[in-house]
Amino acid sequence: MNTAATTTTDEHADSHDHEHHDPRLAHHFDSHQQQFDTGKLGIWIFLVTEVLFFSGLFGFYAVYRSLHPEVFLYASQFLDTTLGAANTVVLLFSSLTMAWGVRCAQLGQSRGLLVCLVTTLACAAIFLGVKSFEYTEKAHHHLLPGRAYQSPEHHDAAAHATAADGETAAAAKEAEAAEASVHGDHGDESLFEKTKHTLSYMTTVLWGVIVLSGIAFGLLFKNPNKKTLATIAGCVLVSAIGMQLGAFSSIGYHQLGHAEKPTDEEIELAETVPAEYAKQKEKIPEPMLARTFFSVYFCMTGVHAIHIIGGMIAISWLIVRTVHGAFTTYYFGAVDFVGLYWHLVDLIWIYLFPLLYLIN
Amino acid sequence: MATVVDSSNPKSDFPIQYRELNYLNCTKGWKSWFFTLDHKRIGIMYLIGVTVAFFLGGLFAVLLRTELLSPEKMFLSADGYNQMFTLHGAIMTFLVIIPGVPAAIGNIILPVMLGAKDVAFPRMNLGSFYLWMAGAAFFLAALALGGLDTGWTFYTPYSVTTGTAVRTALLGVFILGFSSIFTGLNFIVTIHTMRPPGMTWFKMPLFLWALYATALIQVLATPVLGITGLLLIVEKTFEIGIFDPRLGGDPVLFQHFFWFYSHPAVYVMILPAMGVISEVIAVHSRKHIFGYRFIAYSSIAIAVFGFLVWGHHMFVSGQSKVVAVVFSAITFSVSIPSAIKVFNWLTTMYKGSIRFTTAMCYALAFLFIFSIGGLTGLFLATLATDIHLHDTYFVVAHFHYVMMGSSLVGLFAAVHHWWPKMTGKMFNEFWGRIACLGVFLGFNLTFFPQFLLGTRGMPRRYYTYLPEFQNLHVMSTCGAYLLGLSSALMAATLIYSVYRGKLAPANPWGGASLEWQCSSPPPHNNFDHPPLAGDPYVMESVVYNEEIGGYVPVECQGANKGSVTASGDNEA
Amino acid sequence: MSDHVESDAHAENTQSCHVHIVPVKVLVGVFLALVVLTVITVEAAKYDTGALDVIVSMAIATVKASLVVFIFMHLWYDKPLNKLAFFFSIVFAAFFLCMILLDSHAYDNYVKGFTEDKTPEFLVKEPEAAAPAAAPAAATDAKPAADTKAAPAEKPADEKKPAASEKPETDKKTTPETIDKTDSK
Ligand code: HEM
Ligand SMILES: [Cu+2]
Repeated sequence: MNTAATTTTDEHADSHDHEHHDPRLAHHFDSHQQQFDTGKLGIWIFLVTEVLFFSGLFGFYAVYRSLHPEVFLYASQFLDTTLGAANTVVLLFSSLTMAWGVRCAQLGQSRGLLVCLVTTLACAAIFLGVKSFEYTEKAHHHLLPGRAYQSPEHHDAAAHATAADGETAAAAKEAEAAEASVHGDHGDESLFEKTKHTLSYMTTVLWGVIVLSGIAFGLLFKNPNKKTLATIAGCVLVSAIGMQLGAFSSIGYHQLGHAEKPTDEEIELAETVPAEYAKQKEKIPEPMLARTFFSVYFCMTGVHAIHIIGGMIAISWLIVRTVHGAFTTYYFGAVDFVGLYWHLVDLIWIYLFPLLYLIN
Repeated sequence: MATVVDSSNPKSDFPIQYRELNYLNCTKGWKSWFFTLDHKRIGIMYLIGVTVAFFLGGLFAVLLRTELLSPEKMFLSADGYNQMFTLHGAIMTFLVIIPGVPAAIGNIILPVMLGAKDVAFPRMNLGSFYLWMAGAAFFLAALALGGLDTGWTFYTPYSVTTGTAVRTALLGVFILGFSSIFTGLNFIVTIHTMRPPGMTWFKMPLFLWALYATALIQVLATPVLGITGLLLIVEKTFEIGIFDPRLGGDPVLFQHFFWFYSHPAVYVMILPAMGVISEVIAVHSRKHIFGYRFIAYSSIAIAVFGFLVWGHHMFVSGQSKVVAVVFSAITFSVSIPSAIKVFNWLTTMYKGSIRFTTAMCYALAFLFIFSIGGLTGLFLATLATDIHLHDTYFVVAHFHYVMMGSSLVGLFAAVHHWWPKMTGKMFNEFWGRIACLGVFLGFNLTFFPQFLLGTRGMPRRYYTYLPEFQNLHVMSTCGAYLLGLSSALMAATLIYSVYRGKLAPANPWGGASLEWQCSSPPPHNNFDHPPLAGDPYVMESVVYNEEIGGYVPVECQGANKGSVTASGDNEA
Repeated sequence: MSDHVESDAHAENTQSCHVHIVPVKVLVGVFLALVVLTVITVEAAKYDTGALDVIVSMAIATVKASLVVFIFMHLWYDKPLNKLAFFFSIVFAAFFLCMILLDSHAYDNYVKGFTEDKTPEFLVKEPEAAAPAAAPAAATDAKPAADTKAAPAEKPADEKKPAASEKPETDKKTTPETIDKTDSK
């Protein structure tokens, strides 16, 4: 046993100080390499827990799909493949910029890093914007999990009943009452208007956020003492603009998709049932547990969206640190680790997209 | 204090035994504790938290047993009884046993054993402690918001329909899960990247192997518990029909989800205790551990096999026959590594010079109790017998033999073994041993009758029973009182020692692993230089020194005139 | 990949960090490949290939995922330990999925039976004819609490109730036990 090492401590009591004056190196590590490797193993193990966390959701998906394939076949048609695919590409692009950002960090190019991170943040926000459009649209059609779900067939029948013979059937009355209570008084707006209307709460708030954070950013930008605040304002600004972009472009896409001279009947259908469904020639009958699909859909995409939001916070934190010049060629672990997390979130979406949107 | 204060002589041959400035007093004020990043202080806070939770859970247990003194209603209604056993179970599992050895003892000892200054991610470590606190707060909130009556297992469909505070409790479980994950993550990374020069994998103390295996389980299994809890919360709130069969959900799927975590979790509870026993038996028998590699590998084997057997909790749930047979067979095989450990411990003691210190007494109690607990597990793993025994007191007795009798006794052994290191004080061995005897007798008196009750058909989770069961129930309740009193005596002995105990030497029991090389209690940074690690079980490398009252390395015995106390170092 | 740039050329001992840096060309190439694969999977889904559908889309997703993991996440160049960790997470997740999939079909009928017995009104499917009867219940938004009032009477010991009461094969064996328990109440 080596005793000398542990006996003569007095002289060395302060010795760790002069080895470790580097503020970027935590006191319990010997070198940056060790610190980096430690962090890297740590983040990988964290990703392992994430994979297992999602495996619960995928397990739940797999069990229900194998038990009730008809439900998935039926309900997946209500998801808009184009929007899903567009979102996939947006996320993939954000992954590219993230990986590029890591490269910049490794090479010490802090300007490049900043650009990459901001782009990633914006892409994440666009993704969320599109997603909130999709959610709103689902909510409009009562394609919600659990109790809130209402059968689209029901709408269909109700609409026809009302059109055909006024308010004869009790069913139609009930249905309409339910309809009216949910839609409030927007009965005669077009579907897209309705969706836009609901979204408009979000978009209005976002406009407010954009203006405020824009002003804050403008005011603080020049002040060297307020770098952190200015950067945070900038991050909020970028996120809000991104979401707005996502929301509006999906609204625009939706309007575009239906601009080509619809027949009266089609308009009628479009008012009451989701567009994707209305297009179907032969309708698949609605299975009993159709609502389960929307449980799966909202749980999986919801948890994924929470991860996106977490990632956006982490990326903003990176941006703040980048602005302060925290990263160097030998200290860029944080960028790498957040990057790994971000890629994992992307990875999960890569599986979610075909599993939810592409069921034929 | 038999020590000489002479800090001016750095050439002394003795390791420093005691430092005026150590991790306990190097900084002062509540902030220095609540915002500390020092793994030892975090461990101490965990230990205090776990102890409080243990006595709270114990109080519930005593109330439950008192109610069962007679088949008539005494002071608990049926509903009250349900809530009480649920909270007892939930607190004991999630707040006491799971964090007990790894988070409390492991946090204090693991980095010191590795000769490291801290765990890999000190901030995450503190975070995990606060998550534990938050989880505990949610449990208390559940208690305040109308209790919880689902059992610690939260089985659906009952948990979806009951009006009690299931959501609050589940949120607590979710948060505690993350606390546990972060601890595990930290340990894996620390063991991988921060071993000192000379410590190869097979020179690591077995406690570290055990913690490593535990951490693997924590990291791989706990996320599934997290998502299960989350889904159940969503199910209960929005009725989305995942687990609720009324809505087309699948209640057995919930059991799969739950046990995919919770069976491995029972190994989270037992593996660290097994690691403790490996240390305690070797040190207090003053003999090299027998079959080092077997014990090390069996920890990993238990961790891996532990993932493959969860279905044995579901034999009568409607699970398919093929799956049941597979799970039964694998369950049998998982007992092999456990048996390997027991044999190796026994062989370690063979021809050793055993000292019946308090820690060793607890270790012996562990061996006895764990053997019974493990063997009764085999009855339960047999498909046919389990049909009869499932959901009876036999299961209750089985898991108390392994959880209370083994995991907690393992924690007690650990606390006594490392108490001098943690606090720098020696406790009174006499009262420690009396408490140990009381725990052992009380425990067996409480739970052995429950095996008999179970085989005779007494179902679990009932607040009443047939009159002919009364004798055994009364026995059990008496045992519980004895157990409670003895635990209180143990706590009293230990707490008393903090104020009045003798100063502890650096190495009171003669251990050869690194934690015995730094002074008791360790300074803030543990070691000023990474120590050189040798074989942690060569007990001959240290000899007893009268003057110090503890063990010192052989090399410096003889030249015993140096300083053994230093002061004033380590002002940082 | 021959392109092994070590970040940090000059360094004192502690101030260096050796990692692999992926060239921009590769990054952009991977991104383009990912986009192409996305298009392929969307197109492929338009053809009805029956059971193959899932397999094809999962295979494409796996190719995409591997690209992300190995290139974007640098796992290809990473330490074996990190590779192992990730590999194990996949193995465990797959094992978990396989077991629950294998099992869920076995008891599906019991669950279905239960569902049919106890379905709450709001879920009962309303064909046009049945609508008037069922609709009011749905519209009045029956509170969940209403139908759970009765539940607390059944104690948690009922956990296994659906199984015990709906499991024909083991009925013979469980009977004595069940009797035992009801007796001892
Ligand atoms: C050594 C081999 C072991 C075997 C073969 C084994 C086997 C079993 C089996 C088959 C059951 C299910 C009984 C039933 O519900 O019908 C069971 C229950 C249980 N076991 Fe073990 N076990 C072992 C070790 C352990 C250990 C080490 C622990 C914890 C530290 C533990 C904790 C539990 C718990 C908590 C339950 C009951 C859970 C509940 O239903 O509330 N077991 N064991
Ligand atoms: Cu088990």
